[in-house]
Amino acid sequence: MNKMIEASELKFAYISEEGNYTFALNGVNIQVERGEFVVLLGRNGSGKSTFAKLVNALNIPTSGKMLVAGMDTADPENTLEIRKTAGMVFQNPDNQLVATIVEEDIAFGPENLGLPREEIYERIDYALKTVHMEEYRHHAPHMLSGGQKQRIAIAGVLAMKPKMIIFDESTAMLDPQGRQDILALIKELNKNENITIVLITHYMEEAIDADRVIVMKDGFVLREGIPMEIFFDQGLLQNAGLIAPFAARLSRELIEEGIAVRPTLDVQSLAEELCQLK
Amino acid sequence: MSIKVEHLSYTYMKGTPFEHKALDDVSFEIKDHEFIGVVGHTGSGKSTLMQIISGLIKGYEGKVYINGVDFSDKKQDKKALRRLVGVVFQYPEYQLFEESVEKDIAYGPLKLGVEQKEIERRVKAAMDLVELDYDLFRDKSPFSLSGGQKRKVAIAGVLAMEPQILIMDEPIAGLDPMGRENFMRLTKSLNECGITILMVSHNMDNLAEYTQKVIVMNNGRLFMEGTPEEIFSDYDKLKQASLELPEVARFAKLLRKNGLNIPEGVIQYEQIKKFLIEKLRGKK
Amino acid sequence: MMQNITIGQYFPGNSFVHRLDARLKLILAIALIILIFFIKTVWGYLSIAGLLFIIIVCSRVSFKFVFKSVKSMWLVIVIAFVLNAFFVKGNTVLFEWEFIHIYTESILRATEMAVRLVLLVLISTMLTFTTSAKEITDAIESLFKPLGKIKFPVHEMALMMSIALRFIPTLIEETDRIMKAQMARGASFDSGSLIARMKDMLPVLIPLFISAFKRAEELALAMEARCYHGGENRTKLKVFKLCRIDYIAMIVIAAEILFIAFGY
Repeated sequence: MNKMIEASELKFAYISEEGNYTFALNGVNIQVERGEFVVLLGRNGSGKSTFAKLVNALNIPTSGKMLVAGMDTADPENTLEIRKTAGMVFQNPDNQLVATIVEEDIAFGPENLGLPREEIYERIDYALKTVHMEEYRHHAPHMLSGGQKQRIAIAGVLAMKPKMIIFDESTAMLDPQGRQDILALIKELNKNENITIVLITHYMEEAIDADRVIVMKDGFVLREGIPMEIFFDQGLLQNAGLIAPFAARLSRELIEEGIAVRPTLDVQSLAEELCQLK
Repeated sequence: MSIKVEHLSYTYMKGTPFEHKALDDVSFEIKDHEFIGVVGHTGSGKSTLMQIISGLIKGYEGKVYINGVDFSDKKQDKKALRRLVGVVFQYPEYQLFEESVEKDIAYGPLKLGVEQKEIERRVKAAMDLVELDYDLFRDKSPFSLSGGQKRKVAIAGVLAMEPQILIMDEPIAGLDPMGRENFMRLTKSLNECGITILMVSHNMDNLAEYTQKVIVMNNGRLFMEGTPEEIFSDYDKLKQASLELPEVARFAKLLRKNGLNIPEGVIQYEQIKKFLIEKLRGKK
Repeated sequence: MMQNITIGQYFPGNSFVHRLDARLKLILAIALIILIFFIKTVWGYLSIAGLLFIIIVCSRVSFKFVFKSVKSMWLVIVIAFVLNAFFVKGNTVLFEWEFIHIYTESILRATEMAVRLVLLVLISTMLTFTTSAKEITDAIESLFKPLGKIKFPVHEMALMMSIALRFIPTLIEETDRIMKAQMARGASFDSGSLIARMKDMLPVLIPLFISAFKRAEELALAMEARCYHGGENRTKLKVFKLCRIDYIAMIVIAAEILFIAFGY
């Protein structure tokens, strides 16, 4: 099974109190391969978070199909297996930690899976080591910084040994340092642990190293492609309410002014090229 | 409105084992109409500083003068301070509580004792500023709005108090890129209307583009103070306070390292773009 | 504004007091609290105070913290003292003025009451200082397990309690923030009549409730995403097993109970 996500003609509607349907997803087709690092971009309300909840079987599609590692999320028999396969990290670190001690929080998932104690301990060791938080094992989560709390939340997901993790704006509430740390960790998980990553974010820089970027608007997929295509498509960016990362914007605008540089997303190579021109 | 603080010190949970010195002998002065950026890593004391200036923390040492009036004097009327200083907290949408947008925005002026007719005018004016249509939104419940709209209502609630000084703590946290741009533009126009702005932010890029002066806090002390050009040119000192340069300044540094001589103080996007075009046009 | 609360806080450590079986600790603490009310002589009080002193020293929790939690209850202790001093009748009049009669017996009784309260606070403080919320709720869940047989939702209750404890610091912080935000909009919380004050609290309470609901909703999602599906087929990280220190603790407390039972 090499497809982690296969969403076809996916629609999802919220029903308001008056009984009106509001469609958050209007027929979305998204596929994610095993081992990929995919970034989902789009303005608030474009349907990104709704999509994430459908992957995790927290919501069931109104119509269309959502397969996670080949399992249909609409079948309740699959729910646990899907959630074990596709972990999810949310935006607010405070609202996803359940226990008053770090180690007990990480144990929550494995406990739910009914794993034997020895195995739970092994998984706590593994998860804490992977997020570089071993020395915080016996700390109280509410005393940690935002970035550290988010690491613990990630460890809690890792302890279930997922094949994929969806990050739903998990860096949004962190300070720049915390955000950098979490992004670096996400890339590590993708490279070293071979975990498929779906990252939802408002920070364009976080998408630069992605294998693929998916741009959403009003419940539709507007475009998907490699970062180079996405961030140099001015019309697309404007339409989706996005802003190009620094190097993309500068190299594009310099080219328009007749400076002989190549379009790039990489600050380092842009600097080198400019210096060779002088 | 000018602000002057002298020898401000504050200790949290004094006399307990959790005692923690949040501010340590901080003094500085802000002139009328300035747009000030306040930076510092988490726990540097910047939020405590802002709350003391806003009169929300008591029991500090030192003096706070606003337009020459000593507000650290306990006899000074607190209402007078409320009329002068507006505060926009991080995630301000969490302070909404009224049943309609109009009532929520009117809460502040009402508490200040503004008369009804004037309140109505102010609510309209404030909604205008944040670009919320008065007739469309006035009767809506604030809780039925989208996240971005909620934040606009909360900010309008502060603006309706018509403060001379606006203190903002991470006001753009959680907004999408367009939302961030729009918010910074709004703040700039408020500043141009004569409101003194103090903005706490982690976003160095925005501060470099918009502010006239930057204050850097570190471990409860005033660590640096100067124009954004001065502050964001001193990479080594910022690093000591565990802070990063704005993107443009970082890029300028990279260019310098690779042998392209960018003058110090280039921290804004348009500046560096213009410089590069002039220097490199026509070269192969 | 509200950061001064130490009661109910857990101080992680590895002392033998920390390592005692939480179920046993809970039972022993309750036993000691009941015991306080059976003490008849000064020796009885001294013996319990001595025992607590040893427990505090062994737990390596700073005395400062312990006294702080007693201090936070001072009002209750003073009220208990005053009520007893004024309303307990005795024979030896110590002080008389208008309708107020204070007897030697009533002062003694009031002092005893105050001492009991201090001991009670100390015992419960030491329990929460050395036992994490999760351990306490797990202990309760384990002790009440037999009730599950009559369809009582033991697991759900225990989980609810542990989550409530987890969110107390978060909600305290949040209250502080919302209060400050509304103060900045001109609200004041310390003036006017009781009704006026309660009305003034609405701008704090409504946002607080809304945020608490939002947090609850998000937490529920996060728990589901982590495969939570009720207490069925669930294992536990911490399993209770009595070891040597537990038996020693039991013997010590049993000796204390006997001491009091013999009339001290």
